[in-house]
Amino acid sequence: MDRRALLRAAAAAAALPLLPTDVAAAWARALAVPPAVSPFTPTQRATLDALADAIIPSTDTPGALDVGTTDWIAVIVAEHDDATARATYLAQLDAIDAAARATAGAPLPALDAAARARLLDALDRPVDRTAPAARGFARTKGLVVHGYFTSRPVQEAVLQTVVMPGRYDGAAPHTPGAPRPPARDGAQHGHAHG
Amino acid sequence: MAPSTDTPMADHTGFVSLGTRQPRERRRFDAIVVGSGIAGGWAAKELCERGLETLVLEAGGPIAADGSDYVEHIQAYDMKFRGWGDRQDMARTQPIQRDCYACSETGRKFFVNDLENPYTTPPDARFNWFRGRQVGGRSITWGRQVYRWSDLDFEANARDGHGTDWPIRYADLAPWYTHVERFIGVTGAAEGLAQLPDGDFLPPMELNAAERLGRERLARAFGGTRVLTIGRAAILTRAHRGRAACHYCGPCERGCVTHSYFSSIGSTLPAARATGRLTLRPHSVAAEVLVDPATGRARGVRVIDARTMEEHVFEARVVFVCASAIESVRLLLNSRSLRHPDGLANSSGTLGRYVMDHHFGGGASGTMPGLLDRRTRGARPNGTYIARFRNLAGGPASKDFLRGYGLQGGAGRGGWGRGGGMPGWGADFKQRRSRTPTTGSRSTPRCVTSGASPPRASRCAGARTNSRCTATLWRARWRCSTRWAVPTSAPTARSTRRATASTRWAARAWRAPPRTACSTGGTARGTSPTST
Repeated sequence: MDRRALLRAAAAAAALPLLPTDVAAAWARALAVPPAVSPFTPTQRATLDALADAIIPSTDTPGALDVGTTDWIAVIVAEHDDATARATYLAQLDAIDAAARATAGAPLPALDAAARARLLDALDRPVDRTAPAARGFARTKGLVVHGYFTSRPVQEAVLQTVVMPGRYDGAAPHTPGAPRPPARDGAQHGHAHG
Repeated sequence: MAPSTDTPMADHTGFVSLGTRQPRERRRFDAIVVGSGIAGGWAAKELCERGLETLVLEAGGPIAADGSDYVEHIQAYDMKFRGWGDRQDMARTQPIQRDCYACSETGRKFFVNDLENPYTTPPDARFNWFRGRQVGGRSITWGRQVYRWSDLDFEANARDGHGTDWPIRYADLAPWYTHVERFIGVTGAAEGLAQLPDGDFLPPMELNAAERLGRERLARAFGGTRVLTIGRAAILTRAHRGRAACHYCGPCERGCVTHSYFSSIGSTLPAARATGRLTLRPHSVAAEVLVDPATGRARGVRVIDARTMEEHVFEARVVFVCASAIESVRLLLNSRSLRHPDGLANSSGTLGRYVMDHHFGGGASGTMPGLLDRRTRGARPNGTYIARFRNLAGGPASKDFLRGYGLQGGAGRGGWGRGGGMPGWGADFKQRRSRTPTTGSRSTPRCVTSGASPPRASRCAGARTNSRCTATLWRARWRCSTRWAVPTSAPTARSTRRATASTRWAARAWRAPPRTACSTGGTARGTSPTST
């Protein structure tokens, strides 16, 4: 959503007979919704959804699609990327789609598990890292990881992030294999320089 | 107490200020303080507590007293760009400010709009001027690290001949350090080091498991001459003067609803207000310090109201200029009069020259194997500090530079954030990103250097204590935060370039008179948004 659309949404919210708290909630919703115009074609979006679902599938914890990761990626591509970055990424998604059709004879969402695994392994460990499809997969993975792990369900239920811990323990007991500590911790921001 | 006046000011400098008719607003005070940040807040507190009716002028707008303007508890999932910021809007409106880490998706509100606050620099000397125009100034976003100087610092100019000798020594300042520390609350650990005097500390924050190990190994490897200590920071580790202890949420640079770190709006300005003698005037851009032509002394301040663009004159016997290092200089340079044709306090022509910034960037980092059964809990808003060890009496000397540097840094355990660049996909990938590894194997020791000057800064602590392991576990890094490491020879174009390239804050002049560089804000050391 661009600034103008946001202002429109805010104006619309203000025009409704809402209580002030409702206005705030409406504002938050306006910020949270996907962009009004999707940056993706239906095929690109289907490819992205299939990639996200494959990279972080639903297991005993939610998967990438369960927490709306690709909706957030749409916001990033539409409003965070500049025109060049956006065009590049969309072309990379097209390249992944083309690779699926060329190597397995069908678009990514239609592939069976074995064919999908072959394609994703090839994209994940490519011969040529600069190939558009390989770059597209790498960027998608970065976006999926960030979007997934910053989502509220994952922060709360999986990583069990505490917003106001109230104390600092620099050597707390930890069972290897337990949920990771928060990404933002200690040396990453604790000193003056950030 | 000076009487208030309802009459427009006659301007002795001849500057026409006929537009200043605001019959009800008080015009005359005992003292005027320009700026409401760290220095201005302190000036206001001290002046008010000593009985002076004080006007504080702040160019920016007010901040909500209840903390509702603060954004430190907003989680990434409540941010549109999940912490990545509105890149396109920031590129347009904050292309300079966004280079500061604290100018983030939510914290950017405490930084100026660059379109509305333009400035120029010579083409070959870019300077990132990070500014916060609001009540509280950059005390909201500052780095909070506070270290006392020692006589090693105060005597350095006299000893090596670079710069002008300081007119004071540590003994002159020590009681004032204590005065400030007792009020603002400084956490730290006493180490008994001559080069890094201990302060009046609140209980120290805890070193984490990896940092403890680093401290022990450093001490062992260098015979106790290199000391890694917890950072000394203006953050409360217990309740102090009506402010609550830190709750370890992490991002101090976005504000603090409990005022647990020192900011002027959380401590000095409320103390000033409690005297009943404080008048705080936001949206008041100081244009000029007015001078009495008969005496040559400051007599008031000419102000432009940022909202109405109206001009006002306020009078006082005392004017404190606390508008930040550069803004204060600008104000003085703009305060031209017949008595002071080159600006106020500029008879030497030195004002505004020889700006020297923090040197920053050299350092070392690595990963530390082991400690798999330990993690941190809580986000400690503080790092560690390695006290100066170069060019001390009896310590290792450098052939390349005089004086020395300290190192700020810390260690932390890798979070999910590293996942994007790791190989794999699917359920196993997800599991490895969500949970910590159960094994880690050791490989070649590694030391990252950035080629900063002084060059040997980059080969300090880390190389001997850290080694890289393939499963990233605990990662430690320290970065140089020197004040004045003076090259033993004149700086060459190459060394200047190198220094500039390796610092986000370009070093302007190696031989600058230090008093020019030391501005009003006190003892902060590091590249926080506050440049003091």
